[in-house]
Amino acid sequence: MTKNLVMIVVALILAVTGVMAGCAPKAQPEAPADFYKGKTIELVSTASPGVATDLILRIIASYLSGDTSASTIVTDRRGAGGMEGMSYLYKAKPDGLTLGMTASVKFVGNKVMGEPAAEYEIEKFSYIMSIGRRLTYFYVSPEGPYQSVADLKAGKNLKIGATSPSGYVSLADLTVIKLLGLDAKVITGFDGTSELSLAVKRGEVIGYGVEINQASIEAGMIKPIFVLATERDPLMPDVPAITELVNLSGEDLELVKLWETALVNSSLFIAPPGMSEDRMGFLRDLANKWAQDEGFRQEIDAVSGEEVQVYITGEEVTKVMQDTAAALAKFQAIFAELIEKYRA
Amino acid sequence: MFEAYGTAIATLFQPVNLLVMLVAVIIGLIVGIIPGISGATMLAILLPFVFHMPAEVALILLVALHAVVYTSGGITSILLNMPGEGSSAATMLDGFPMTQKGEGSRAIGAAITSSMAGGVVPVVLALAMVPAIMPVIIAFGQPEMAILVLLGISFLAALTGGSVTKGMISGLLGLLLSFVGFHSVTGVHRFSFGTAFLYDGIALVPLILGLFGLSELFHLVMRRETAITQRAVVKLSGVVAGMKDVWRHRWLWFRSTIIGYIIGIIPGIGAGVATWVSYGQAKQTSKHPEKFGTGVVEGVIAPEAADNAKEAGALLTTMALGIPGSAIMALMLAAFLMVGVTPGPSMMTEHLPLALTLLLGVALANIIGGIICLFSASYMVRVASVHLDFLFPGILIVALIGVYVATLSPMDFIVALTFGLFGLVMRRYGYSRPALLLGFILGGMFERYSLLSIKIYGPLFFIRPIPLALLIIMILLLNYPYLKRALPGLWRRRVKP
Amino acid sequence: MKMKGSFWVAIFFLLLGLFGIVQSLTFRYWESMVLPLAISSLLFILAAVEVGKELLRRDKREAAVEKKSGKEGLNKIEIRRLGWVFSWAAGFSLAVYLLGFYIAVPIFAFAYLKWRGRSWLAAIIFALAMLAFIYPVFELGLKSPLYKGLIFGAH
Repeated sequence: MTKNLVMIVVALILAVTGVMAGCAPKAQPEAPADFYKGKTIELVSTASPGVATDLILRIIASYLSGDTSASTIVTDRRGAGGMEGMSYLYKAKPDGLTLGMTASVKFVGNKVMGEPAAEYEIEKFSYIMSIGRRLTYFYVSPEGPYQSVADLKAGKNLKIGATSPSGYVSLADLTVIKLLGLDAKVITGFDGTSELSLAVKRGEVIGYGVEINQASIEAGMIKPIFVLATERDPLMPDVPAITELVNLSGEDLELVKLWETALVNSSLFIAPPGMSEDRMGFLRDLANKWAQDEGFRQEIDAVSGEEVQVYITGEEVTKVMQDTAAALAKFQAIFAELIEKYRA
Repeated sequence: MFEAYGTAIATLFQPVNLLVMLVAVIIGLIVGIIPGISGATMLAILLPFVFHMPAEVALILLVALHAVVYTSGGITSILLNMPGEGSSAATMLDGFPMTQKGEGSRAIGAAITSSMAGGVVPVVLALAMVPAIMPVIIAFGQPEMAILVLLGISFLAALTGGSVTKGMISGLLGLLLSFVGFHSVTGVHRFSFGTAFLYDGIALVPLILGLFGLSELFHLVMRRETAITQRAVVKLSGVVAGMKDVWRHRWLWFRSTIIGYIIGIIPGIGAGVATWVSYGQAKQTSKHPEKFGTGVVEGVIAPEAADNAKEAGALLTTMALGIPGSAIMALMLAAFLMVGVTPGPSMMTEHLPLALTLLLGVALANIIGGIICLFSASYMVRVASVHLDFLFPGILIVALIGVYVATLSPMDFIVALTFGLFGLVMRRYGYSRPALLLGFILGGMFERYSLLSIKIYGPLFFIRPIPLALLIIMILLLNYPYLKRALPGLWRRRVKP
Repeated sequence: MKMKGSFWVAIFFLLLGLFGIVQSLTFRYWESMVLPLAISSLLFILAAVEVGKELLRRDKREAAVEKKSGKEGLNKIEIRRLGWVFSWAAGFSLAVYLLGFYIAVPIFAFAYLKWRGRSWLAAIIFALAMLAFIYPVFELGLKSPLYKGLIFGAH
């Protein structure tokens, strides 16, 4: 008898809560500053805990909380190489209470490589700000037989390392192979850049492409021989741009420019598609204010391990993403062919 | 050098730093106990606060917290058959049966002592081994890693329990389950049926909590039993008995510590290999291997020593070379960078006092954490004798929270419940759940290293000095019980006049 | 002839092995196929051996040991209890999915204890104690908020 009673009570509670949820009154439109007061903002991190993108988001969380009187929670959604978080953000309600951060090179790289799990369109997201600008370098062993582009071009059956076949290291490697016309194969399956650096040191692979990897450089495991850009990087002015070493034009030059724009590694602060203009404006204004704040910049520099000189507005990022999306099909076709041709 | 030690000790024993260490140890112990919340999660939450602290204080906080997570991680393995950390799974095999026999205090005493000492002694080794780390790491390439993981997998044979066929079936199933999801070598999605949920494969925490925690819970409810079948020894003397066990089995403890430490130095090899290899060698070299799995204290001492020792090795590699070997070490690396210290060869010269402070901090944190756990051990054991009416909902709630916190996906409740049911069936029909878990943990790793080895060195990649040596060790270890019996007989026949 | 539960468990593994073999053969690239195929094949073979053992009842000694230890299979009472306990576990999981932890936990704790015949006071105290444990620890302490459910969690 008591058991039945308990069952009935539980069922009633479930029913009542269900009805209450359905009958919740709809909120009236209000000014963004008032809207955020007392609310909770979910900040979706698509990066592993502890990497720069994740830490930058946590810094933004505290500034956002202070400026909006809202509480912020950082949730870790880095499954499927961050695509779980990107898809979650893409489908989230565009009310300004779900925001996120992603590494641009992965974000765009997934689409360029035609990754089926990348269930989003890059031009549809609402961009608040881009922090940082880390270009991609090609690294070799400091003691190995390949110390220059000429050495690479003369090499036979080169083994270049990468993480996953559709990851951005693979993307960088394939770009280098195409631009230099190397006799090479990409060996995928390494578990991150630390393992790749060790593999280079051991001579298992001759090199790989990734953003600045200061720790491995200082440990003497790798050294950069060029940067995938049309100009030298102020962060490493002694390393030549690939365009200084090889004559590039047409499609090849477009690829290099892609690596300086959409595929540059920066931390993108984004909101779901369809955000209202006033809330986007509010968030962008806040972001621009932080970018001018000395304390904010110092904290960003500390977690990035370098002086971050570049803060790009949401409007500028939107333009870059729209241009990239327009040319996406062409890049997808290029890399689809390269993946099959150069996989080991 | 002595000056640097003096500075390090003076820094460590400053009142502020000691207080921070105490707080960190308590947080770390609590985190270690709660299934699903890993040390990495806690470190990630604390990292942003680190920026506002002095470098020494920040790093002592993080290092101390991290050092003790694995000390307490074995406690829920022993009491409830639910590991607080994934790497504590091996402790369940004998730890929980000890609790069922009423020897929970003894098991905890042995686990904490072994873990504490396993976290202290390698610090001494670490300081001596700094010049040798890089050559060791460079020597362990893809083929060496593949055979080392194979060594871990070979201990499946030691976990088969009563029926070898059923044990092997369990291990093979674990290997097969490890292949679910995105294949990093080829980009192929395997056994995921096009679902985003299985893109990254089956998550470890829901699998462990289901296969061991929930299945045991279902079994207890079915049988209307409490976790322990015999009256528990709820006295400090039980804990002291466990501590004495570690001294009695000191050579086993030392071997396990060395195994854990060396495996910890090598980046990327994974926590699971250290504890399972340690458990496997403990069983193989024991005088009564057939008793392993029924609740023998050696089965607790070995994995616990290795579990903590590996972290000292991993921390040394991170500090001395700037190479993080695991997710938690990547966080530590980030912390170093945030406070303006660049790990690497220069750290051991330019920041030697700080490096020594941190290494000694690991040792001290382990001692403090160990003492706290030892004194509260006899109270913790009472959890296992709580009435089932309260134990069932309590554990189910904590388990599902652990699943959610670990994966942030409510869909993983289905995984946990499914493996809970499956684990119960395996238990009742004589299949080995530990063998399944071992296969699951190591399968994907073995595949990745062996495929990379084939691509780089060709199919005969194992014909190299270290892989061959490891293969010989593997064959010897697997046949050790037989060799021990056969060799004296052969020797007697040879010397007989 | 009625087959024992152990026979059906062995059949299950046999089918799993077969499934693994069939699926593996559909994977593109030999690298993604070779190990799953090898493991599935071994699983199939060993499961077949187990099925054979069950059919031929060769391992009588093992069966006798199992029967003596009470580990052989599940009796009807145990199956009924398992049905109930699994239903509670599944029901709680569903409640969490819909309502979130902070609502589902006290409701489940209270309802289960009442179902087991405990007093109202004990059930209420236990339910509140569970809530008092999880809310401060996760929401306030760890800043790792728990799932708020499909109904209350979406913005």
